[in-house]
Amino acid sequence: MEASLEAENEALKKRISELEAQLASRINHTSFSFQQSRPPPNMVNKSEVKLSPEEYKRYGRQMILPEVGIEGQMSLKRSRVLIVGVGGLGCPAAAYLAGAGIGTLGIIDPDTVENSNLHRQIIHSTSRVGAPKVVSAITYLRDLNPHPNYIPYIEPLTTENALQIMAEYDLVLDCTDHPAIRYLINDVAVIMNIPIVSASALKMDGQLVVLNNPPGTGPCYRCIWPRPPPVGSVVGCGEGGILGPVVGLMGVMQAVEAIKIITMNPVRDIGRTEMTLFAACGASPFRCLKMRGRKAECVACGSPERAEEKITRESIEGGRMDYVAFCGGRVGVRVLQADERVSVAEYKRVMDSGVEHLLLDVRERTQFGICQLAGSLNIPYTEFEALKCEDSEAEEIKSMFRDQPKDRPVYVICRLGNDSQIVVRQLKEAGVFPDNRVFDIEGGVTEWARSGVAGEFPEY
Amino acid sequence: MILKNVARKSAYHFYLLRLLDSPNITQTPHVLKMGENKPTPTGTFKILYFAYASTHTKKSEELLPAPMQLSELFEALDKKYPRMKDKVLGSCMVTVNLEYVDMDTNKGKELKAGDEVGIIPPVSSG
Repeated sequence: MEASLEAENEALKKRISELEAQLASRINHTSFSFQQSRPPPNMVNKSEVKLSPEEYKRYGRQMILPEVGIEGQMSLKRSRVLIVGVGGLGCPAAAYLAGAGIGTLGIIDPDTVENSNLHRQIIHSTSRVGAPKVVSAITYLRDLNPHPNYIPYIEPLTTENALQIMAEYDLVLDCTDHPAIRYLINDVAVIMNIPIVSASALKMDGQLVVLNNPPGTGPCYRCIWPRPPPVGSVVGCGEGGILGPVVGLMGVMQAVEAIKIITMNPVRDIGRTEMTLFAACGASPFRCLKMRGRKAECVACGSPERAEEKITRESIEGGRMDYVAFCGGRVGVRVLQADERVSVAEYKRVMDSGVEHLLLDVRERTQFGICQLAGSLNIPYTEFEALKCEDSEAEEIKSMFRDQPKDRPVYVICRLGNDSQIVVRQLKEAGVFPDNRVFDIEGGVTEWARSGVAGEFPEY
Repeated sequence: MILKNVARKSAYHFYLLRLLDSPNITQTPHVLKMGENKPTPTGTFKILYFAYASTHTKKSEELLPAPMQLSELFEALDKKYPRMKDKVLGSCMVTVNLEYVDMDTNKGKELKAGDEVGIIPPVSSG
């Protein structure tokens, strides 16, 4: 009896999260078309807003503060804030910003709620384990304050969507967990003239700094940390551990800084940036560090000596910025044996010989759209990556190749020859092609272009 | 944590010894409850290690002999903690007396006795 009730309960929970995801993606689409017609972002957006009698009561306790007042409350209601990552930092930040009456709150995160998140990611809940974090967060936030316009993005922030998404906001909160995304947020925010409230936490310690504030004056992330941390030192909360209230405190402080930036117009203390370090077990838990203004030769916000290093909208949109590689993420991936890889010249001979084979290109669709080898099939790496460590991985991968003959050799190509190796390994482990003749093309389309084996081919 | 306490304790002993040497021995040191607020012994500056800088050195702070040129700091640390330059310092921000210093443009700066230096790596998780 109990077992069947539990099973029914599980099935219903699953159904609820499916429906919530559907609903969120619908909201996403409708709000997207609405956003298209909006005026360009501007901190001094003077659009008319009104407070309802209920809102006067709701926000009264903060409106009577001279630092906020009615003007500050109106600024909050006019403002559009993007929270990147709704985990340990993003949860409390989102809750306080929603509670304070931010007009538009965008939340982007590709992950789903796991029960190991709940000791610190306090706006999610046990009943929403398995639901997309963005859906779970908005469920909580709507209940807390129904007035803000919540915009869900159930996707990662990438070089392909960052410019478009961040263009809709006046302020961004960096609540992410990887250096690659931190550099991406920074570069796009500098291009878009948006201040960043950045925080991070690990173990018992946290960091908080407001960057690019006011835009063009304050230092950016690259002014302070031009070089990313070495790969081995990047420890996530999963490996390093994290105390819930430590990361929570940093998220709450992000909300404080965001409200200060939005309500205190015009910006005070121009050019004064401080970084706050928190060490829960330190003899003096809080330390305020005085920062300098932006660095003249910064590649993001300054004028680097070598002008071609300057990061621009074009270099991000054109796919020339590989943030993961910059942070050492997948550089020099070597998961295959020498006999599982072929050089571009060897592949050219296969191509010319007319032997029947499958060429699988695992670059993202936009990149595939830029240039591709004749007769190739495009299935992006991210689709393989999403299946990793899932119970159904092998079956799902097999179904991707349902319509392909299985008796031919397969050659896998990507941009640089890293992702393709991982996909070769996945295809082999899943046993998609029974005789396992699956090969990686070394160096990817970049090497294909550089080597000139097939004459002219664009390198991008 | 234990190491940190040992470091703090030894700094404290160092301080007491200095006091014994000094003429105002009759005064008992009374401002010792906040480790970081006590004066740095003569001839040294204090260096604080944060995040993975602390992991690498296995301590959160220590005293180093002063004066030292800022431009010599990384070499000195690399000598004391092998491979620290490669593995840690290359990506760190440095502060002197709670103020950011640019390692490229402040090469001539001198670290004086009593200064407090911070080695602050970027933390990315959250």
